[in-house]
Amino acid sequence: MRGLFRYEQKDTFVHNLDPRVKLLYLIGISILTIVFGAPWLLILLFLSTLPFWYFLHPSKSKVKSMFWLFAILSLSFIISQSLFYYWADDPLFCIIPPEFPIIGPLTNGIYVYIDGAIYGLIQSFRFMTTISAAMIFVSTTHPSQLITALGRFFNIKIKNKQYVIGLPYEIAFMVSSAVSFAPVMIEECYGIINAMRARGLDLKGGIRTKLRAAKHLFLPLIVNILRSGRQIAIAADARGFRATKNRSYVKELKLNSNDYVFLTMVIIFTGFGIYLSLVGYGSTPPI
Amino acid sequence: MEVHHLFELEEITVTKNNKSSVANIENVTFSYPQIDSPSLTDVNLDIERGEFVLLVGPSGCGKSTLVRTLNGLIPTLSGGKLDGRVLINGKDIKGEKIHKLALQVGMVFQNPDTQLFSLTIGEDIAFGPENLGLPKQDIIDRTDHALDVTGLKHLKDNFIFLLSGGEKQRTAIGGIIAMDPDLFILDEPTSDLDPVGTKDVLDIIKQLNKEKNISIILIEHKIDEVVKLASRVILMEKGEITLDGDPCEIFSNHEDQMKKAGIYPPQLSEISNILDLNNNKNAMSYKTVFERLMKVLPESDNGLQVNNIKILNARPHLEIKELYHQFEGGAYGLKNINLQINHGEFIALIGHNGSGKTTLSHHLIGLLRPTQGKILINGTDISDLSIPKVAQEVGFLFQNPDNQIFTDRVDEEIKFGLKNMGLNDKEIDKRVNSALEMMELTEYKNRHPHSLSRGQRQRLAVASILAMKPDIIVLDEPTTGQDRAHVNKFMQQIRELNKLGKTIIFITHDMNIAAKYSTRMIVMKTGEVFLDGPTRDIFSRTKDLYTTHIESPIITRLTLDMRKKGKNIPVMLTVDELRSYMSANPV
Repeated sequence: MRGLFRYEQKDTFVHNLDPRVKLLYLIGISILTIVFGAPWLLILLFLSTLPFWYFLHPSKSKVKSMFWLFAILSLSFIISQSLFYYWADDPLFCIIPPEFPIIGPLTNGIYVYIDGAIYGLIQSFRFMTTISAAMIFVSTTHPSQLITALGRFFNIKIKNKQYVIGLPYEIAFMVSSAVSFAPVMIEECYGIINAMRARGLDLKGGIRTKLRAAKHLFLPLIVNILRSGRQIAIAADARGFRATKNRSYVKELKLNSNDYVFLTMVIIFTGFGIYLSLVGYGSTPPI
Repeated sequence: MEVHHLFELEEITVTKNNKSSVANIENVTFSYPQIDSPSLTDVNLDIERGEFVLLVGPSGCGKSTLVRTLNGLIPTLSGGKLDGRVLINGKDIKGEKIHKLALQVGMVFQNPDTQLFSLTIGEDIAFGPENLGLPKQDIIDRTDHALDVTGLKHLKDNFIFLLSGGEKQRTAIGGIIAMDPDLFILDEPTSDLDPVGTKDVLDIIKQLNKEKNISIILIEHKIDEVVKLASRVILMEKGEITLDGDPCEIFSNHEDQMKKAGIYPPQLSEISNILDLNNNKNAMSYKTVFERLMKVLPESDNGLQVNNIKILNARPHLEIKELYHQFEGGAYGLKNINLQINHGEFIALIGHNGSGKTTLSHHLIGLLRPTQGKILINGTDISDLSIPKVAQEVGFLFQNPDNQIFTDRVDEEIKFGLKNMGLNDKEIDKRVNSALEMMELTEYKNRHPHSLSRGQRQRLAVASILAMKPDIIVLDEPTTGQDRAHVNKFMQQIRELNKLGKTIIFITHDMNIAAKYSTRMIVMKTGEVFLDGPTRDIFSRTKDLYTTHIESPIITRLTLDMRKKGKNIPVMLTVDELRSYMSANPV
């Protein structure tokens, strides 16, 4: 399951798109899943994400876990909506009659509604669409590209002066160094836990044992983080961190023709979708 | 989101003159804030262009403090009071910005994990030049050059967190190369690396010095590996420079002073001293020493005090039978391991990183469980025993003492394991006191563990394990990053425990330590036991060892080569053995 949201190095046209354009695509799709109401539009929207997967050639195991993720998702929506869809007229059958002690009077009886099941299925498409688009984004966008994109989302030169809209560099630096340092910290944690177990601490006990272990994990971990933090700061200073406001960037984000084509498609697609939702295909609460 | 302006490029110009001195330290005295005694006292030092300086000294002697005055970290970041002058390329650096100095003086630290900031190698190397706002093409050229020198070109876009320690350290060095400094300072760059990583890093440093004529100051404990690279050796003691000169001269004529300071000379130099080669210019060449030994060493079968402990009735203590371990991804970490380890053995477990040493050792205490096969301790299968149960029989000492200190008082620390064992208070107190005494920590009983020195913290970790009275002690690289005197003292204590009947298994990358202390060696390679036997036999198989990037100690190679030439002498493992052989068979 974890592998579903992991970057995979490949050479496809989706990988080579500008991260900002892909981010806009993800945002556009997410907006449409919210504003669309007509079931066939939601299903079409989900289907529109599938061609990308054809280009990405995901591994069999990934396709398998995706299938299971979607299956579990729609199933849980179908079940929950079929039980609690109060707008339907005739229940299909009754699970707990209103006369049933305690639960009966509390819930006015629990029924299964076929309308609810259908509604749940359609709702699940909203989520599956967003998840599918997010997976496309994450598995084709290198994390450092993403950080670069966030830092300089919009870049314009007017009269020899650069104007940049995005997260401040310090924040981007913090995110990137935290991401690269996280695996080291996780390894440290395992090391400390192993050392505790080697000193006879049984982690199999109840919540009290676990809390005790957490308390003892804290001291060495904090000591390590403080020591490392100081060393990181020194090393960063020694390499000119924040030396000048005019930091240069080797990686410049520049849109190429493919990006422009894709961007235009995203804008038209999203714009048309929003238009559709405004002329009567939008989401309306079922009555 | 925030809008910020980018102003015109401010040129950072650096004058690199061709005067022969790169760095001068003139009458420098420095004290850290809130510490009365100075950490540096009236230090004078002149580093010339192209010099390769090996800076040695016991822990806390001021080595790191000294080099940090050269790039302004001291006193700009540290605070404290600095008297005297520090000049880089002839210019006083007082008040100079650290990032400007970074273009002239580059510094690489011990832990690669805390010097890397980006996700990929290429980006990390470009990090420094980008910070300085250099022109884009310039940064690309510098990055490419650094990738070339460090041999990382093919890994340019790889994630840093997936790299080995050696590759990470090479990336850190690449980041400094990209700053194009005149002086390169490396503060224990190989302490966290295995022999392969160490060699790769040292090769790069050597290349920078020889081909680019960059001055190097290297702080390093692995004297044997680095002494052939250095053109000058400096010894520091208590904040002062006490020796300074040609490596050959220093190690030949001042061996005693060096040893007193905890610095052991390289083995070749030690041997040439025994052979009175001290005034020979080639005293540190293998060939010279070999020829001399061939000439003067008498042939004999006697005179070697072999330091094997006699095991009268060998009883199996630990048995490993057809052990396999498969990782989550499907790869095998261990394949068909069969070992019998007897009571009282002193075993060195060696092999380069990834060979399966740690995976095997973690099985001995149950941190990992076999995929197949079994492990018996005193005949009992431990697969059904919980780790706390096994821990009473097997003590495990991890590499980093700081990862195994969980409490805020020395005696509490030792109690931690004993309380987990469910002992009564009286027994706990008794064991705490005896463990403190054995590791010479009684006077620090009430101290906070983190106020102790690294050596003391390590002894505390051992004491905490000993109090649980295990009969088998497993040590995972207990000697990394320490000077030879501390290492010897520590290993001597472990040897005492061995004499008391404990079975010792220690993982190490230091072949001189393995040769000196172990009686049996187990060499791992790609998850299998590659060689297993008495230490002397294993070190005699130099060709086999070479395939796993392991080199026998120099004295062993010398004696083996002499035997090949037909000289009837025993295979020796340590210089001490050579000494005792020579006194039993006078030249």
